Amino acid sequence: MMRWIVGASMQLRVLVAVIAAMLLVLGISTLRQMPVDVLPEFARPYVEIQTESLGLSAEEVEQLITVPMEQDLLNGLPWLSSIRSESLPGLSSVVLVFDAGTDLMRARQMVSERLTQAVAMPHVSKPPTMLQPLSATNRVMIIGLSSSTLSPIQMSVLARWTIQPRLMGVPGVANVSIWGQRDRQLQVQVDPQRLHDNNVTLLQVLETTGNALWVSSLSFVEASTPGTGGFIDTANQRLGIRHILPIVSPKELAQVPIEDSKARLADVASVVENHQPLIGDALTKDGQGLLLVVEKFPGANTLDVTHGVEEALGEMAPGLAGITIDKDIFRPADYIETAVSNLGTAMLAGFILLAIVLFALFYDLRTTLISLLAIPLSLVAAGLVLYYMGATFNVLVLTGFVAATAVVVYDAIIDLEHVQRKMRGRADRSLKVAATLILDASHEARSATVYAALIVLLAVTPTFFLGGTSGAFFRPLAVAYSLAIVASLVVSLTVTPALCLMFLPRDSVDRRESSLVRWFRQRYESLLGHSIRHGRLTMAMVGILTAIALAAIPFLSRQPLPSFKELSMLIRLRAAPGTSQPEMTRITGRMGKELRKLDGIRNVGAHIGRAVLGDQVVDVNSSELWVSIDPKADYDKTIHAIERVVDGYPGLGYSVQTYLRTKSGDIVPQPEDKIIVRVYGDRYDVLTSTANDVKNAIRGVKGIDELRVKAPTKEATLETEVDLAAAQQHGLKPGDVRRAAATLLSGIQVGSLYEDQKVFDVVVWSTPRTRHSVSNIHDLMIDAPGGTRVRLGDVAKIRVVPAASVIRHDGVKRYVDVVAEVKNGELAAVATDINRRLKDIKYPLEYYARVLEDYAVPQEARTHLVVLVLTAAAGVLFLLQSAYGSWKLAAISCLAFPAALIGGMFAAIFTGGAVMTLGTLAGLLAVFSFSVCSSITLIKHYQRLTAVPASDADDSRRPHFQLPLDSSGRFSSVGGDQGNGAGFGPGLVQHGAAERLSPILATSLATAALLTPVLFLGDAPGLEILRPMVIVILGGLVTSTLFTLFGVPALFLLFGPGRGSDLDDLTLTMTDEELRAALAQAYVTGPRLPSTTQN
Amino acid sequence: MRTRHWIMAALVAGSLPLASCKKTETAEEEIESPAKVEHLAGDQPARITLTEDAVKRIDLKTSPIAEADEQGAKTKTMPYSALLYDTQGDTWIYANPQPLTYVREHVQVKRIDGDQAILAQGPAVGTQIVSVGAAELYGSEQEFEEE
Repeated sequence: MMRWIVGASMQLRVLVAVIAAMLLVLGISTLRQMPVDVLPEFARPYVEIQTESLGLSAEEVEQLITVPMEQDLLNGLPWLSSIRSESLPGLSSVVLVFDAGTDLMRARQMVSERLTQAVAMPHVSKPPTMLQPLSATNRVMIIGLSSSTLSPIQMSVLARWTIQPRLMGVPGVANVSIWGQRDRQLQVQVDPQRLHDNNVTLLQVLETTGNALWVSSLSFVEASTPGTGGFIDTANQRLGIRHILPIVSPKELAQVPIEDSKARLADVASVVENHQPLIGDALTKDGQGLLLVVEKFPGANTLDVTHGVEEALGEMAPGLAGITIDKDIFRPADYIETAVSNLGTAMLAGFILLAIVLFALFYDLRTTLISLLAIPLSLVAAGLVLYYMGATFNVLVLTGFVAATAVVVYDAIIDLEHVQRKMRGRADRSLKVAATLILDASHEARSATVYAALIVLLAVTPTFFLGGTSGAFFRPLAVAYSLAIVASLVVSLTVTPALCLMFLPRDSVDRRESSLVRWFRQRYESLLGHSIRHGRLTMAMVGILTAIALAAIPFLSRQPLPSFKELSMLIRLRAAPGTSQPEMTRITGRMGKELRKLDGIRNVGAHIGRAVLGDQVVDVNSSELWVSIDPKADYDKTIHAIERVVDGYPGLGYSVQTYLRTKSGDIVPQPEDKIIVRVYGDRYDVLTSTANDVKNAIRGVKGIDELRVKAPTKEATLETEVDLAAAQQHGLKPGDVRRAAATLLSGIQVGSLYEDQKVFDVVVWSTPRTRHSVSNIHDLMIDAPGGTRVRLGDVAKIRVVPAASVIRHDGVKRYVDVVAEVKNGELAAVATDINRRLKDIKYPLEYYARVLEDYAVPQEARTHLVVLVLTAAAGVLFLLQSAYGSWKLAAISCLAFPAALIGGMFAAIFTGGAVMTLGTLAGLLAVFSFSVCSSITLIKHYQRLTAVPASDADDSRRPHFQLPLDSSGRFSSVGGDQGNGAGFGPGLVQHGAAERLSPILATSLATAALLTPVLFLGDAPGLEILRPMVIVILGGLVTSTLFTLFGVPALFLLFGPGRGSDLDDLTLTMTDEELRAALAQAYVTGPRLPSTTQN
Repeated sequence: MRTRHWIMAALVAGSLPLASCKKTETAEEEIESPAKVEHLAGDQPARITLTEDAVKRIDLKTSPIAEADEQGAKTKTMPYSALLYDTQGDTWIYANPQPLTYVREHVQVKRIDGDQAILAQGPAVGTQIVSVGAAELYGSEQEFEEE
């Protein structure tokens, strides 16, 4: 069938050439639009639901919002893998994680169906909102807004009503959250003393304010039914009626007379324009400002989104006079742009070097050009497939392509080298002869290439079965690699022969081979002769080195992902639980100011706490500083200086990392040294004591280093509990007390103000002095029936108690963790032991404990992986056996692989330390594929030589085999057979290897040439994974080439020629004429068909 | 000749992994911790010693406990910003007995008047207490777990 493919491509060569050219040109231009990102989408499908409830404590959020939503609505969704929630003061966040492979859109549909039944508690919380689907690295840009002329409230209005909607309209933008937003509100801040003096109750103020407006959300005021304006019809016209609200500012509202009283609102309250209580804040380089965080959809193109956002801001700029827009706080597109340009430079330089090497090999312009066309064509074709599959171009895809370069280069070189050799010295210049020769050449080359391709593809299949996040991470690499290999195979079967036929027949037949190649060959032949004499010693050397390399593997540590040289650092700060927002803003501001003064820092922006619908589920005691580094600065020195500064602040927990490192922190599950026992229950005090019981029960388990109970963090909270007796004396009910206190301390929205196309809240609150301290809380005045007033401290117990800062649920229940640190490698045994002991504990009703299965995942994954790798290895062995028709030869090839890897491993260890990174592994994969290709080439060539009798040699110019040494008789009887091919012995081995020297050496040199420029670009961004990879590849190429050129011949001599593969069985693929001719010849020369050898 | 070359190569190659196993990261300079917390015997709260840099960084400010006259009786007052509540409801301040040394001390608050806190019980009049930066000192006494 392959014969047919090659033949057909040659017949339709013009069509094939045109298609190839178009593919190359269009492919390159299409690929320029391919979304580029650093990491692939590795997060599992998940949905987050946030419910804002400003002013509600964590426990009430849990009780009133989270629990009903979790238990009644969201638990039990299809495809749900885990349901987790966090209840913080003011926010409920429920995260639903779905099984890997779930269609996110369908999952979201299921969730929204359930959410339609959610009942929001009016005036207590906003309706639950399902957040937009977000990319795994969701932040695409941070924009700082500051102004010296506009107030924070005015800026917030612009941000909320003009900038945010416009930016949300940019394609690819999923969300824009605004940190530091101060909502414009009209606030009626009552002064309890003045209320008393004017004999007005709080309820009167509420009703008055509500009824003064058009619309009120309070159901007990008349304004809750505003009515419509109506219209009148005259005989001719219809006139609509519209009412204009005269209240547009605090001044007008203040003049409104209070119902049932002679006073006006101004007499009992300060009516002001103010903002809501803050859940967070933002700092730019000019101090307090706004931070807009732009987030993108999964799979959106970072560069496109960034440019779109910048364009939108540019369009809006004329209308935003007075506002300074700072786009430099966080811009990951910078890194991507630099990386892409560095990669482009490296690729271009590599391509030029490649062209030089190929020309030195072929010594013929046309052949060189054909090969230079074939190599990028394969990669472009693979890239196009990825593009249409919807993938992004990320570092893993790049790594996969680079890992495949050895094979791609090999495929191009081997075909052309065969063709060139056959075409050289032919008698006839006709097209038909050329076509036959090309077909033959391709036939010779392709069995090796097909087997090599199958073997390397089989070698990467275990990655497809890797589960979890690591699977999602490494699959793009395997896919890109496989696509490149398949594309290269297709190109070598179709495009290369077609182009050869188009351009090569006009070649001069006298063209000799490159003198450089000849020089190499002569040197090599003599070297090989010497080494064959000392074959056993060579093998021993190689064996020792391989053993050393393999023995070193367990000592290598794994660090799967390098730190990308992003110019943005993210500093996460945490203060003691319960720290206030003003203090957090102050300390964050001080740190920001100090950082800005450091050398090499371009910009610093910070946000404290959280924002509405933002991606930070934290309280105000948490903040993030985004530090932007000058590209011209010394990177490591600057990072070090930043860490020194951050470490110098007492009383803060912190972490300093790049954004990608923060997000990719859980790529390969690393907690192989921890087992977590989770205790589920209802009350934290009982949970903590049960957890302590568990801790004592498992304390004696062998293998546990350290045990601790992770109790929930507590902070000080004010608790008020109404004393029923005391309240009853004044005629008060607990609800009355709560509502009054809530209005005074938290404020209540009574209506809306409509202005232009914006809506603002009108709120009744108290003056700041009324809610300034705990003393004020005690002195809070509650209206009692009968016109009297009561102090809150007299009817309620007010005390400071500890409360959980954040209440977490796993599977709908509260929990407390017991963390056991375990000596490495004994996780399974320890877990079984723990499970046994857990059964013996007596739990209170509704409380239970279990070992989290997280530990099992790496273990299971590892066992699973080992099984897959062994299966793949067995498959490779079988493929090799069927390629050679001999187990012994398959064994040789198998030996080639670890021998090839030695060089790579030593190179990696020597330069990078004993760390196994992704780049190292990918480099070893590339070297492995090269060694497969080269050893198959050589051995198959040997088999072909021994299959053909000396008199029927293809190449009539081949000299007779010579036995260089008489004393080498010991080789000839090894294996116990004499193949019926001529002269199986050192001479054949030596000469055969010399014939294959040029493609093998050329592939090695060409691959090295293509990749070396990466090293010369130094520590540039974009090359973090490629640098170690290229080092490994170069080291591995050296040993692999040496082994193939010196070791394989020696081993072949030792093991014998084998049967040859069925693919080589010429009788199976001969045409009728050829068969008749062969049979005729057989009758003449004897019953021997020019086909398979027999052992 | 050739054999000797091979043996040498093998030895060199063999020693490489051994050499690299000892390869260490570039030594990091010892960074002095900004806050040193010593726990004293018994129930006494800890004593915190800050470095000079740390004090400058958090812009720590101190104020003395002042005397005030309230309806004839002498009471102590201090800035409201010095006050810390712990989870049990007890109120604390940080006294500054020696330069760069801070100790948490118990106070009892009668009531809070604007930005002054009137104490029922507390350290002697004239004691320097931390009025700005008490939150960071409180944080130094706690351990931050990795999330």
